[in-house]
Amino acid sequence: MVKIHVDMSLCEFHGQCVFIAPKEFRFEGDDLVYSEEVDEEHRARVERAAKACPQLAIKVE
Amino acid sequence: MPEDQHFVVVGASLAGLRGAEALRAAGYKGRISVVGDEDRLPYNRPPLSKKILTGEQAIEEVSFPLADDLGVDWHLGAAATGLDIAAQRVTLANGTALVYDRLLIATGVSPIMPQIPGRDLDGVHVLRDFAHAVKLRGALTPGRSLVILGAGFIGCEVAASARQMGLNVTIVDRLAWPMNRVMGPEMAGLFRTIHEEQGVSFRMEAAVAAFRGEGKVTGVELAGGEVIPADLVLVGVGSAPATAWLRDSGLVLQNGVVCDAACLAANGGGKIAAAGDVAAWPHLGYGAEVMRMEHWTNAFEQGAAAALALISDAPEPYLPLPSFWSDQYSYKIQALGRPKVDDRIEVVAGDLESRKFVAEYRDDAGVTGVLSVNMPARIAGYRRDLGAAIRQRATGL
Repeated sequence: MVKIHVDMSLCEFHGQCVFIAPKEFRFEGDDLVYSEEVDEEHRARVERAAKACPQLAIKVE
Repeated sequence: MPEDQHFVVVGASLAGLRGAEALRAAGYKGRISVVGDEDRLPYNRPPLSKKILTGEQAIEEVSFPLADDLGVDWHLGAAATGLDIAAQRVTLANGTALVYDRLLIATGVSPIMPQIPGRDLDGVHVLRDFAHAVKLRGALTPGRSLVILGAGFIGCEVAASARQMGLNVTIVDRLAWPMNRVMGPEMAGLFRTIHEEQGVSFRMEAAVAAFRGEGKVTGVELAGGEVIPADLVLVGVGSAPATAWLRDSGLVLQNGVVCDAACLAANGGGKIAAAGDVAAWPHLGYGAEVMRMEHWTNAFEQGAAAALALISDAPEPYLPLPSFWSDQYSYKIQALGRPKVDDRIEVVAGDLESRKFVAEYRDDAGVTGVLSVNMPARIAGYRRDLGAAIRQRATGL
């Protein structure tokens, strides 16, 4: 499994992750919600989303 | 590209790093060298004017994570000083010479310091690099008076950070409105009001005649003779492409390294490309208008695009959607596209009064850009639609 963690003290809601990986990250109202665990097959997309975060707020394990 | 080749990247910031990463992701297994003038591994610049200054983020936390298998030879603390295209050689300040097969230029920009008397006084700051941020942060003490020259994004972001820390802040600019170039006067007026509510003073349409002080700055003299008291000054009047090292190279330099639509440098023989703040290229989604973008997202995307163009048999045009953001106080400003000054502005969600809205900029052909304040959820959809429109215009479909 791929573990996702977003440091919400760093997140500024740029939404790059939502654009790149909409299945794992989405906005609900003004909040960012995300899947904390996803299947290994989605790792590349999740890592692309993490890399595109201007705040470096997304950690992927 | 064969494995015995040498790919050299000059510039160890976001665009250069993304270039190296994109090469590895594309399967390139040859040698990669990355040259940087600062003695640091690549780090993220946006926090330098915001959470690093206020102390909300530790300065050690800005380093980009680097993959263990990135496989880069770093040449740090060694500015590039020259390029010999015929010999395919980059020379560095420390005497090293790197012979390349492919070269990516990503040297970014340097802050402009206008020829104002007193500019060498202690307490006159610029902000671009890690070292600048450390120095400025050390000078931001509650109760001190900060005068910011330049009401662009850097100036406004530092103003917000400094007010949050309890400094007295005055912004001086020749123009009438802050951040006007990208937002238009109506939206710029809203942001001036927000800053004024937070206690920032503006001296707009004012020119600076001199920085006053003996050894250390104590005031900023305006053209009319008035002196604004200052314990420190930030000069944020813009940046110039860092191309001095290329002056005699034969590359075409005109507000940056001039490239073709795929980011390959003019006169570079297909072996040199440029990316990030330093690159000027014709954007085929905007009628081949030559653009140079000083935004994070562009450095991120163009670094990869330009590096891949260098190892591709059929380089593709680089067609980014202009995209930028700024965080000031509790306001998250996000903008997409390329609005023009006379475009119509229509608020399509939220409202200006609550300072939570999405505004579309339109001309006769449709939406040219979008500005969102504290409504980030809407931006992803526009990113998709405006990006698709750009690709359509470029391919003439």
